[in-house]
Amino acid sequence: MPKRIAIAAIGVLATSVAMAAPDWSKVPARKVTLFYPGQAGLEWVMNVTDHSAVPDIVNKKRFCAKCHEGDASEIGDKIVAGKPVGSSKSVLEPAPIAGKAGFVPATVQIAHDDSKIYFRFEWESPKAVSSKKMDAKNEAKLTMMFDGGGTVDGAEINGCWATCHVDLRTMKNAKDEKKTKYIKGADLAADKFMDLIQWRSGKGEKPVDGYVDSERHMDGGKSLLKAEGKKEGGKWIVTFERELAAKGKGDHNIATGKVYNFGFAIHEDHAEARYHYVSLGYQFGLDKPAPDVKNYIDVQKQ
Amino acid sequence: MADKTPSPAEGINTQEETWQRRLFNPPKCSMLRMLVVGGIFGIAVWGGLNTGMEWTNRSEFCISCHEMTIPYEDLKKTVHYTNRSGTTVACADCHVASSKNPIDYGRKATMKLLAARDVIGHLSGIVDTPEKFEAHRLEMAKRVWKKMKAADSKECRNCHNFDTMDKSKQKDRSVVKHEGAIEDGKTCIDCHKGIAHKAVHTNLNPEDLAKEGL
Repeated sequence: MPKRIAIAAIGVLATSVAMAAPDWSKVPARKVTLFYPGQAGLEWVMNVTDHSAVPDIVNKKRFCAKCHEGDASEIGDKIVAGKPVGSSKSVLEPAPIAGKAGFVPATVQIAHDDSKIYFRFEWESPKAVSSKKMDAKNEAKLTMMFDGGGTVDGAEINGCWATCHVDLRTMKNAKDEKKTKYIKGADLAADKFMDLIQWRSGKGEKPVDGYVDSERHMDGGKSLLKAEGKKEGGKWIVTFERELAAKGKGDHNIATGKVYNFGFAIHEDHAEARYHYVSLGYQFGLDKPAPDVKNYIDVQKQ
Repeated sequence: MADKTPSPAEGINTQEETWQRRLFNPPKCSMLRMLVVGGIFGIAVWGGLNTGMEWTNRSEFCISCHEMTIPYEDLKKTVHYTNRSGTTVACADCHVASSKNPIDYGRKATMKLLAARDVIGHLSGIVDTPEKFEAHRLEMAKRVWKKMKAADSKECRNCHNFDTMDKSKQKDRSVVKHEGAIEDGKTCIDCHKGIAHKAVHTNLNPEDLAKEGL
């Protein structure tokens, strides 16, 4: 009997060790600039008249961050002010909000243990300037999407843009003000969907564990264990704790050996829909160093 | 004593012989004279031509035809005219392609002759108003792009060189695009249209431009 108790105690101890949050001071921090995209949906990005790099994106599989990691802030500043970017003549924000910041610098840390993956995001909240609160309950939200390790076509290049189209609500060709993100050719059974997790700042607001296939679902997932956020001296610090294993509908299994395409967005100043800041497409893998890949984060075991 | 005075006919023969002898077997002092005279003449002709070339290569000369003030005013708004380091280009730097290669004078001379077309355009009044100029702008631009593409953007490469670009001072997208351009054997004008004058390539679909080899 004492032997059984000892084994159980070891089991409990092991579980509690595995569930402990990582020591973030030991986890490499990656700087990522999120920028204001306005109405730059996937169709705009892939239109050669607006975006001269399209032939190289298609033929050379050139991912966004390769060219734009360095000038994301400049792009955001132009779009948010209602000015065209690059060789395009399109105005991507037809209703500029005076004084709104064009970009948000953030740091991203990711770690894992035997059963879970942990994400930590930190950013300085830009000056609030909006005259109306689009989302009255939440001053800020952070949403992250990732595929199942190369399962969504184009996500290895475009990241979240695989789900962002010009006919979504608030976008240029919107016809249905309830239409939200979707993936062309989505197939839940074949893992062709983006897993979605979201933290919300509002009091009493619950974390979201959903997914995006042919439409956006804000529930169904069971792998997200925690989504927490706090504001310290003007800085938001948001952490996610998630099972590596897929536990519910629209959850991807995260395993070693694969490269996952991801992106994240921050809604600030009570913003909704397109009025957010977005990252370019990034990738991560578990204990799989790839120092030559510019948009890749090697997630180390803690 | 016999009279040794030559007959008029004999005199002519003697003069011809002298002329022919001097031509095919000139005295040493004559060769030197020829070299000196020839040298001076050559310098005068070549110098005159070159001076004429350079004098007419001045932007002031180009814009003396009033319609050329239109593209010149375009140029003045660009970094090719005014910039922090104070360098600038004149019309001829791109449109006559003054060469740094001394044996490339033939191209320079050809481009100069082709510029006569602009004079014809001026005299015939085909582009003598801003409206007419705008109506022909794309057609003229295409002609220049084709010339530059055929010459592997020599006009640009006289000043710009992939090998001496400091990538650390370029934006990511510039570094990536230049690497791709080298890889694909692209030339400057393939991407850098509309950088010295009003951009008109943006009026065209890139696929249509590609069909025209631009």
